[in-house]
Amino acid sequence: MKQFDILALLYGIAACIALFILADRADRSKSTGWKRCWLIPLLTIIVAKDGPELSLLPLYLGSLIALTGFFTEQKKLRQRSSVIAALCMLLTVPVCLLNPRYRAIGYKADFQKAFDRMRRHYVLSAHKNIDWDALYAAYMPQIEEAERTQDAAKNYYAWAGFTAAFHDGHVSYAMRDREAEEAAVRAILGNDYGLAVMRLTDGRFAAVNTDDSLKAHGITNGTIITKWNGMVPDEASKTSPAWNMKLTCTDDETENMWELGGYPDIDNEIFYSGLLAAGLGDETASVSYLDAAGKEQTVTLPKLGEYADRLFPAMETIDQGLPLGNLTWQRMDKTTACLRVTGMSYDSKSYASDKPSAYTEMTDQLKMQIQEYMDDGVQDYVIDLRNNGGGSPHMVNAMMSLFAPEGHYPVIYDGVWDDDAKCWKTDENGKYLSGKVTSFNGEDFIQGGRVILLVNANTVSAGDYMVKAMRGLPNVTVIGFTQPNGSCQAVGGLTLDGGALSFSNCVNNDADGNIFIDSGTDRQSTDDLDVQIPFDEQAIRTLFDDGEDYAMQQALALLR
Amino acid sequence: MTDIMKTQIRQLFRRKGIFQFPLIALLITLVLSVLLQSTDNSGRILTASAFLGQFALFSCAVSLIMPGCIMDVCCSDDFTDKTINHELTAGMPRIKVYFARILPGLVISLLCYALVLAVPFTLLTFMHGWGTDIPLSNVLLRLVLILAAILRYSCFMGMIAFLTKKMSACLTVSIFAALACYSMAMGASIPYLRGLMTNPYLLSILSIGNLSQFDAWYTYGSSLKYNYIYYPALSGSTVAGVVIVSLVMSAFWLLLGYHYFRTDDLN
Repeated sequence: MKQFDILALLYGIAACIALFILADRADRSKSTGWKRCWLIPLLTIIVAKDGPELSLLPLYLGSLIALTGFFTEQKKLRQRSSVIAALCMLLTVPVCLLNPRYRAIGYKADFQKAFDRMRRHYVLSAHKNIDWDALYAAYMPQIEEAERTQDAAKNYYAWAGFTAAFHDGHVSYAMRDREAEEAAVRAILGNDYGLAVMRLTDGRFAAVNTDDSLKAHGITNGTIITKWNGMVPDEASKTSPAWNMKLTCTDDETENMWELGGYPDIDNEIFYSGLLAAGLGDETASVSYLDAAGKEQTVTLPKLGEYADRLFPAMETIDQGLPLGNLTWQRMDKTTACLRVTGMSYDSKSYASDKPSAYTEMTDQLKMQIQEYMDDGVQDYVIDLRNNGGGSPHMVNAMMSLFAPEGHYPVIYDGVWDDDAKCWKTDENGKYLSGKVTSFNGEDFIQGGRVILLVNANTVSAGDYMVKAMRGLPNVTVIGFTQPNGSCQAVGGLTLDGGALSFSNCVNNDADGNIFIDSGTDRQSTDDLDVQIPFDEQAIRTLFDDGEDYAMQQALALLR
Repeated sequence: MTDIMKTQIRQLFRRKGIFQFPLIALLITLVLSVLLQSTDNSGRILTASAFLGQFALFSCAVSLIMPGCIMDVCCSDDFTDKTINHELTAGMPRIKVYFARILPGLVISLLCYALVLAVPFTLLTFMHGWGTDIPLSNVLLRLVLILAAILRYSCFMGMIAFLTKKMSACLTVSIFAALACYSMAMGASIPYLRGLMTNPYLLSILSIGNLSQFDAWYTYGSSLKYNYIYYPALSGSTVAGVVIVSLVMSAFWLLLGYHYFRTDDLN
C-alpha cells in the first residue's frame, strides 16, 4: 500500500477510536456542539494525497458510517457506528493488497497524450521521415499490455523503443518511478560473463573491463573477441532485446547519465555496437577469442551477475571527462590548460537572458584565469566537452568569443512562428523559414592560441552547437573517440502520470535554411570530428589497465 | 422568510469592512493586473484570450475570498448579535431561518464571483479584442462549471458558518482556500499537492484550479520569447463529473449545515 493511503487508514481508525471515547463525553455534557467532531472522519479523503481510489472504498464507507454519529445523539448508536466504521476501514488493507488495479497508472492515457502532442509539435517529422501511424501501431499495443498488467518494466521498454525510433538525442522518456526504471534497464541488459565488448576503430571487437577470473582463459582487456554465442559481436548485439531501445544508465557514484541506443548519428551507433552482445546468454555464454598466439579459442563462461554492473563502469571509463566541476580549469602542462565544461549554464539569472551582457561576470572570470595562464606561459587550450548535456547557446557564444579569432560569426537561425496557425512557417517545399540569427564576435583573447575541443557521443545540444560553431575556425580542432551526439533543436517537455517526455520542439536552421546539425534519414549529423582518436588495443589498455584518460593524452599529444 | 432574505441583502450591501472594501480591492487588483500586463514575454499585445490562458488561475483563486465574506455576513453575523435567537424565539421555523440566509448568500456569491471574473476580461476584450488563443465558447463552458464549483464551495462556507457561529470563520477558511487553490495548481514541485491536483472532483477548489488552468504547450526561439498553444477542450466526463459532484456535494453540505442548526442549542 502507498504511504499516504496507510496514513489515511490510520487516521480514519484513530478518528473512530477518538469518536468512541468522545461519545461518552458528549452524552454527559449534553451540548450539541460535540456533534461537529463527527465530521472529522471526512478528512480521510484529503489525507490520501493521490486522490480517491476505488480500492479505498471500505475506508470511505467507514467514514460515512462514522458520520452517522453527526445525525444522532444517542451514545450507544454513536459508539456502535464507530466500531463498525473502524472494522469497515480495516477491510481496506486486503482490498488494496489483492487488487491488481490498486493505484493503477494510466500508461495508455499517458502514451496517447504524448503521442498526439508530439505528432503535432515535433519539428523533425519531415526531416527524419517519421511514420507516425507505424509507430503508433507498433507501440500502443505494448503500452496497453503494460497498463493491463500494471507492469512498469513493460511500459518502460515500450517507451524505450518508441523514443529510440526517432534517433534524436532530445527525444527521451524518464519514468517517475526511478527505481522501477533502473530495475527494468538492469533486467533487459542481461547477464555478466566477466567482460564487456567494444568495437575497435578497425572493425574488430575487443574485451574491456574484464574480470580477473578470465585471465585463466587468457582473456584480458584488449583481447580480440571474434564471436559471441557463435555470432560476430555486432550481429549478436542486434539479437539483444535491448537493441532498438533507448536506455538511460545512471552512475550512482558520479550521477553521470548516459543513454544507450537511439543514436542520432549512425557512426556513434557503430562505435557502441558490440556492447549489448556481452549480456546475452543463460547460465553460460560461448565466447570465441584470439589467444596470445593469435589462434581462435572458444570458451564457455559462467554467469557472474548482472551485465549492468559491468557495462556501466565500462561506459564510465570510455566516456569519462575530467572529474572537475563546470567551468573549472586544470593546468595540463607548461603550455596547455584545460577548461572543463559539463553544461552550458553559468547561473539561473543569466540562463534566463538572451543578452550578451548577462554573461559578463562569467567572461570576466574566464579572462582573468586565461590572463594568468598566458602570463605563465600557456599558449594552447583544451576545452573538455565530454558528457556536456547542453544548455544556453548564449552562454556558448559568450565563451566562444574568448577563444575565436577576431571576427563576426553568424551561426544559427531561429524558425519563424506563425501565431495564427500556431506552427513554424515553411516554404512551398516544406522547408522551415529562417528568422533571427544568433551570432558571436570573436575577440581572440587567447592571442592566436590553439584550441582543442574534446568531445564524445554525450556532447549534446548546446554542446553540439559549440562544436559546429567552432569547427572550421583556423585555431580549433575537434577530436574524440566519437562525434558529438548530433542533436541541436530546442526542446519542449511534457509531464505525464507515469513519467516525463521531452522532444525537439523549436526550429534551428543553418545559414542555408537547412536543419542545424540534426541527422535526417541518412543518420549523418552535420557536426563532425576533425581528428578521430582511434579506439584500439592501446586505448583499451590505457583506459582500463592504467586507469588513465587516453583521449586527453591524445588531445595533448596533438598540441605538442 | 422573504423579509429575512431582503434584510440579509440590505445588510450585506451596507457592510463596508467585510463586503464593499474586499470587493472593490479585488476588482482593482484584477483590473490593475490587466492594465499593467499589456504584453506577454514575446512582446505581443495580450488579447483577452491570451491573458486568460496565462492569468485565469490567479483571478479565480483570489476571488475565492468573496464567497467567504458574503457567507460570513449573511450567516455568521446574525449569530453574533443574537438576531437568529430572536427570530427563533418569535416562532420562525428553523428551516426558514436557515434557508433565508443560505439562499441569498449563495446567489450573491455566484453573482459577485462572476462579476469579479468578468470585469477584467471584459475590459481587456474592449481594449485589445478577444484574440484567437482560446475559443469564447470554451471559456463560457468553463465559467459555468466554475460557478457550479463555487456553488459547492459556497454551500460548504454556509455549513462552516452555521457550525462555527463565529464571524470571520468563513473569511479565514476562504483565505486558506484561495492560497491552497493557487498553490495546488502551481504546486507541481510539491508531491503531496501534485497528487491532489490529479483529481478535479475531490474538492471544489481543485475543480476551480483545474478548470482555470489551460493545458498549454509553448515554443520559443533564441530570444527566449514564448509562443503559447492552448488545448482547452474538456472531456464529456469532466463536464458531467464537475456538475454532478458539485450538485451532490452542495446538497450534502446544505444537509449537514441544516441538520446541525436544527438540533443546535445555540449556546
